[in-house]
Amino acid sequence: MLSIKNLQARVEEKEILKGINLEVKAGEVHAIMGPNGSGKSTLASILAGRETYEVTGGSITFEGKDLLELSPEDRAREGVFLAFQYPVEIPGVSTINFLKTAVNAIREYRGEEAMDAVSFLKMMKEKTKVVEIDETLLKRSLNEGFSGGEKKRNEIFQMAMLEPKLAVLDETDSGLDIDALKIVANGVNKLRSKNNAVIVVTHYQRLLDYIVPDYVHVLYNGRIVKSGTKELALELEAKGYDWIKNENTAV
Amino acid sequence: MNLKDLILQEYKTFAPNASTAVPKVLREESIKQLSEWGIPTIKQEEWKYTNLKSILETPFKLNGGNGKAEGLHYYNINAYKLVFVNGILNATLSDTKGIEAFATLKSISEAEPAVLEKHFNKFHPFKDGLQASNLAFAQHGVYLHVAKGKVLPKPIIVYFLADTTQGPILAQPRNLVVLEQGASVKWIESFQSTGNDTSFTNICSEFFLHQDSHLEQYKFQEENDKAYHVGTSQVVHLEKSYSHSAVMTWSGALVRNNLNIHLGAEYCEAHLYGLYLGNNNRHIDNHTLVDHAKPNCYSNELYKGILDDQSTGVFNGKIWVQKDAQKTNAFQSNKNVLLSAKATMNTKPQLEIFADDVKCSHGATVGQLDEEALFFLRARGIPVAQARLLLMQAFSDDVLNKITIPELQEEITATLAQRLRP
Ligand SMILES: Nc1ncnc2c1ncn2[C@@H]1O[C@H](COP(=O)(O)OP(=O)(O)O)[C@@H](O)[C@H]1O
Ligand SMILES: [Mg+2]
Repeated sequence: MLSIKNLQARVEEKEILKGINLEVKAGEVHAIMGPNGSGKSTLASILAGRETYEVTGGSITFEGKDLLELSPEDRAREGVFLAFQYPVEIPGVSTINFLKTAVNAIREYRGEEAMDAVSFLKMMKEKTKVVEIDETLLKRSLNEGFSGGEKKRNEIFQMAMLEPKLAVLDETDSGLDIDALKIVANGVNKLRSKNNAVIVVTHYQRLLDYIVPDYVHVLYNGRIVKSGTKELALELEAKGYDWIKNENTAV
Repeated sequence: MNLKDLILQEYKTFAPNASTAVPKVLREESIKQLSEWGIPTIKQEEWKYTNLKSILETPFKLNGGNGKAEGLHYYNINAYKLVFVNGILNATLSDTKGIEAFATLKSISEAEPAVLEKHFNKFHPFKDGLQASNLAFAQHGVYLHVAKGKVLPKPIIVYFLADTTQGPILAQPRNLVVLEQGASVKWIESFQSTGNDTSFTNICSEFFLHQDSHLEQYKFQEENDKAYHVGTSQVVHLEKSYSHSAVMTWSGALVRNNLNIHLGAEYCEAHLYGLYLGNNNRHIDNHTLVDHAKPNCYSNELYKGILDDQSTGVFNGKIWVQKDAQKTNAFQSNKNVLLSAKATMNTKPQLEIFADDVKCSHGATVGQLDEEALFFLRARGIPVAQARLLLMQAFSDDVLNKITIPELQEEITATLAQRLRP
């Protein structure tokens, strides 16, 4: 589904990604872990098409298409979804308002008919239950005055509504209490199928108790320095990131 | 002949037949002022950013001619309706049936002298050559006197159309709206133009609010790209009266709106809203004044603008809190989005506070569309043009929401969405 080869990227003069390789197949869940500043959000943002980063080398193929050639909106319409580490606030635009536009923009791209208001509301009702988000929240300006947990749940709600092929969750777990964490994980697990894939970017192994990954990668200083199965997350939890840091400065 | 001389010459023909409802001394004094002061130039502080020089040599016709109302766009609302073409009332197209039960409605030239004496031309903080000209020629325009306790059952809409198919037109309508105690009115002015020649509207509308009266007034400007507009709206408040003004501009070559609010008694409340959309070479200038002359009044002002291409915007917001006006609450905000590197905005809040127990705040911003929000919407699958539109609509909704007549709000919102669409 997704194939990242030797991806290098920088912002201004600063090199951030120094050759990332990653293969994600349909049905898989990959966790990307690593200390602050190692480039996790940069990778996630580049997948979604954020233009502040300059890709200086390598390639990303998604479902056979050159992802780097696509605009952010076309990536989303091809099925890529990014849950933002820092969800944006937009005064005057409600979640319902932009989601209606988004759902139909995606349907149009796929050559499907626009969804009528009734079906949209019905779908919305179903999905609000999954992430246990209050409907009144969705009528308010996006994320304005929302608590940290509400913002993250709103991201997962949007994911549920848009039903992406590849969901990239950038630290969706940070700042969540255990109940909220379970809700978010439940939302993600509902999406999981043999046709979809998920990349979970996280700092802590805690979330991985609920979203069990097939693979775990450790990103450090712009490179994936270790890959393994879910046991790697536990090992990281036990040994801490210094273990990785020391190992990599020693080389 | 330059514009000033053109007006002075026209006055000689006009004066002998002018209505005496407006006292002759007022006209004479005003025409003298025009002759002394001339048409405002950028050397005058109040006109620093707005230059009228491109119309100074235009051979305007001042007496209306036989303009036609073809192409006038009527708003889809149930309202009393008045249609002015080139400054002259077209009675056939107007319909104010039933209004007599609530108000006296006449031409300003037939106004009741006693009422006029009490309410006409009572507040003119920045009288300039153009306002003087308007007063000298005060002849055509609406005189609406709403009786004590009467609530107009539907809004009144006044269309001012400039028809330039026979050549350049200068119109100088003058309106006076008097609300007796407890009266209530929703007043709408719509400005439009047809034809390919230059039009110049130099209008003044005065509103006099007696105790406990309630005014909502709207000004919608959709004149064409050959239209120049200088307008002054003045609201004089007496005790516990309420005004709500919204001025929306999305076309015209050059537009200057003055809105002057005089809070002349205690416990008054005034809301001022503005929305302006600039594109091409459009120039849109809003000058507002809220004069807190008495204690315990509240004013709230929000003006927002979106400027594209080489358009320019000006906002000057004065708040005066006079020595007497303790316990004043006055708020002002001006927010602007520039869509192009060549668009410019001059914004200037000007607060002069002479009382000590007051709550005042003001803020002005000039920025771009939020890039982060734009990326977010695109990352959700919304094409960039549509995402921009969503953000611009969200930005203008704050002001559009202040149109309290639902059909009108819907229509203007749709019109502006159309305008903003790339
Ligand atoms: N827009 C940016 N401008 C400058 N530096 C940036 C920008 N985005 C990220 N960086 C830098 O790149 C590095 C990686 O950041 P990031 O991808 O956010 O890391 P992580 O998500 O792993 O914490 C950090 O050193 C960060 O300061
Ligand atoms: Mg990060």
